[in-house]
Amino acid sequence: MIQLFNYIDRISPIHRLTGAAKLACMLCWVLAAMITFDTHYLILLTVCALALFRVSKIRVGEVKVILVFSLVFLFLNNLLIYLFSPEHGVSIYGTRTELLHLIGRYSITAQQLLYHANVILKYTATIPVVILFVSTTQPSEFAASLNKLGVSYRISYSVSLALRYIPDVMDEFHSISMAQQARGVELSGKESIIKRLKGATAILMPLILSSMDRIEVVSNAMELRCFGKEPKRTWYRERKFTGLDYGTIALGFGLIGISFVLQAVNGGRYWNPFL
Amino acid sequence: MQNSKISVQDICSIAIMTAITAVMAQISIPMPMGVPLTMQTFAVTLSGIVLGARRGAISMIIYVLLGAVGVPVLAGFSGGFQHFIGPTGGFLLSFPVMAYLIGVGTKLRKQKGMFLLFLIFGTAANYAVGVLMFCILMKASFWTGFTACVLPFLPTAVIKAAAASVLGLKLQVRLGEVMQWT
Repeated sequence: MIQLFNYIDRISPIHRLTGAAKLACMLCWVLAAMITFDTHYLILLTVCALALFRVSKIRVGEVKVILVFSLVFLFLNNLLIYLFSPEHGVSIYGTRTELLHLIGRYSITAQQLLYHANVILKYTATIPVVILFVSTTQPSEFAASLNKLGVSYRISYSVSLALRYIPDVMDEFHSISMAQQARGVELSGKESIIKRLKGATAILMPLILSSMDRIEVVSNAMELRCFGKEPKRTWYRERKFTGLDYGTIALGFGLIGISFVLQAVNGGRYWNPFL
Repeated sequence: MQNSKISVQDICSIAIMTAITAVMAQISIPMPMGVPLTMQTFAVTLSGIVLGARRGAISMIIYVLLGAVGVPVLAGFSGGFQHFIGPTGGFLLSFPVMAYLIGVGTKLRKQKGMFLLFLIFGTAANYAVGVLMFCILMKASFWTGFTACVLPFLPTAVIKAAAASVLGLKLQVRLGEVMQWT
């Protein structure tokens, strides 16, 4: 099964950052990329994101699955934009340079191509950073970071618990599915809708009930260890903030600042080469 | 005191429901009319019914948070901030609201018709936010967004809501006894 929160243990400067600093920087990075449509800035962010990847020592093959699904999403997103708003680039950049007429209201214009290039760059600038955050942040340390950012430790612990539960529930689903199929349950197109729904229920009901069974066991174990008794708690995996962490957070805010400066310089969110 | 705080059982139930949603989001049952019956919104409805308004909403907030930071818990083993600022982001962002409203309806279900009313409210809220964000980002008219995002999914949405209600209410009664939820 696919591993979730694909933490890949390495010794690298990025792994040493606290989850809170990485989370703050990642969110700022994504916001900066989404605010601007300046093509130069997006290219710069993409190059920096890929450079960070190299620093982390995470290999592309190790995050291939997430990468593939992200690229599929990217393709579908661009397809949707074109289908619903084929002249969007023209209305933004104010001129029209038709390169090829397709059919009906669909043509390929230079303005639309630039707009799509910007959309693609937004994702190439952000997806590596998101994947990097997931790959270099230990789940327990992530929960500690959420607590540090002000989230109640009960809620942040819930996040950590959920991450641990997901592979278990997935394995359970697989086991139950196999067991029911061995008893003749058919979920593919060979059966009618009603039978497929009954089959799904035959898998989901035991899945949910057996999952709910965990609640009693785990919550009793936690209470016996005095969880939740105090308003605060310490974290085994907590890390102290270092200069590098503060620098990372400052970098994130700096990136957003640059985004806003570029808005002023470009006279809007767009850099317009067609003027 | 017990009502205002989140108990250890609450924490575990919220976590397990988040995990169930993550797993169910990957399940898709093919349908003859072409639009598959996906289990993600089924799980959201279920979390509202089984956990109640507050716990259900927290569960979905955690699910959305995990998806946003890149954990591949969304449909198709996907994850990442870009899903929430893309054209279909509104549907994901409104999951906590959907679970909360359905949870409120569950609590009021002894009053005639209230459960069905809130079930519809919750689902409608999900569609409304989803279509709104789709229209804004795609520069499309409301009718276009409605026909693209809502119309094809209505039949399976009804099936999912009905199935989640039947299953969820049974589970809620049993778990309510065990957990001593009022």
